[in-house]
Amino acid sequence: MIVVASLQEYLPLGDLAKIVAVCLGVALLAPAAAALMITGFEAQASAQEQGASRLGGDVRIGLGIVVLVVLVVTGIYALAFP
Amino acid sequence: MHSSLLLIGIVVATALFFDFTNGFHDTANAMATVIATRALPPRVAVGLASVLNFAGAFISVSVAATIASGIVEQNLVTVPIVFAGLVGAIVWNLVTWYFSVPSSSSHALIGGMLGAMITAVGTGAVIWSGVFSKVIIPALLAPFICGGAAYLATRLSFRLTKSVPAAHSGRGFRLCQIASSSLVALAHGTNDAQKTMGIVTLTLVAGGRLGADEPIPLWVKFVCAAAIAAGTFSGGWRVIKTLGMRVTTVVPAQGFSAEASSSSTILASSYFGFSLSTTQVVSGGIMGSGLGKVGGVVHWKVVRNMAIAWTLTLPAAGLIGALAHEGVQVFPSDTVGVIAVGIAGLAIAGTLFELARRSDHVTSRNVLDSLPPRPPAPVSVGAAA
Repeated sequence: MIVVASLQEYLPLGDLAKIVAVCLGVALLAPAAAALMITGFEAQASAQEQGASRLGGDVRIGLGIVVLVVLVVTGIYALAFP
Repeated sequence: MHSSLLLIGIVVATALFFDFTNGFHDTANAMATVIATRALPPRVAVGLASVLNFAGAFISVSVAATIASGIVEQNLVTVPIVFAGLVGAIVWNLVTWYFSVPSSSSHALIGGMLGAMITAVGTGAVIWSGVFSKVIIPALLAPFICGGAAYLATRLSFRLTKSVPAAHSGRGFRLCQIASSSLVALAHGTNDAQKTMGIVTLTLVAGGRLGADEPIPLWVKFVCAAAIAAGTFSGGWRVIKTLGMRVTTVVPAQGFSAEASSSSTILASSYFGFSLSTTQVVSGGIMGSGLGKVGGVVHWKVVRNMAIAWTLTLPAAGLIGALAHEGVQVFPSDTVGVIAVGIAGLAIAGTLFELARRSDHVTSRNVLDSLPPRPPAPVSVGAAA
């Protein structure tokens, strides 16, 4: 408790918690989005091979790209308007 | 008090040289993993980082004036103190670059300023609570926060793509890596070019050439952006090799995880008003990604050397800054003192460049030599069939 109280004097723990939450959120979202894209490309290739619909792959790729673009745009926004 | 134009010119040139060393020392932060995974050829990677550093410098100037505020009493800062602080930062940056150790240029600058300030005015001019809250505590926390996030991201990246052949997932992660690394480069330009803008502005204000409330002149923004971009383009290949290849063996999923975690840590911290060392954040991210891969190995001896350098940065740059300030004071006028110390600093810089050229000369052509050759391009499922 003493350590936490001393730390609070120099660093607002609320802000620290928010930073950690953002980092953990990105650590979950970014790989998930990348994996969606990658598995989407695999699904597309597989569908092409079997002559099946590529829609599943297209949706995954689209979703992955949208999440990544949102993350990048949010990052640039945070940079421009701190 | 008005300082001579010559004196101010020399100090501004020194600040730009610091900006240049900051650029080449920190190219590795954004591009070490991109180069290590061969997501981009080395020259293209540093070219991209250079352009983004330049662009990033114009995105925001909100922290430009805060580099020394809250750490030293700014009304006591004089032009020779700024100069001596810069000399401390430049020399320490070049020493750590020579030893191929990634270390914080921002901490070197703060250390140099602290040393020069203590010598010139005394310890009373230092705001110690600011040093703790703005430098020491973030330096202790940042690598762990980013490292933890990178560990989690790496585990998840491998788990979610385990059904995909490694060559195929590698291609996808390389593309994503370019985006995440570009964001780090942009953030680096915004954060670090602003620090030099702040120093140049502080010099102009301390020298009586700019009002304290006046905005940063456009030419200051432009030359600072150009200096950091030029430094980045020259590529600190020695540090790139350490961060990209010696800390751990980085594959694309790890590179993407490390850079995504680094950019989120840097950007979230900037948003909430904490200025972190990009170097320490990225180093933590790369270590976390090394630990996050099953069977991944982190070379702790390299990490130990980095930790030693990080610990030494404030006192060592401070000591050099203090010596530089004392050196300036030996001479009858500040202008003559600054010229003499500047020549001595240039001699040290030249010696370090020459020593680096003679021993283990790392360039864009041989930076990847220690890596195994890239496996042949994957054959798509459809083509294979």
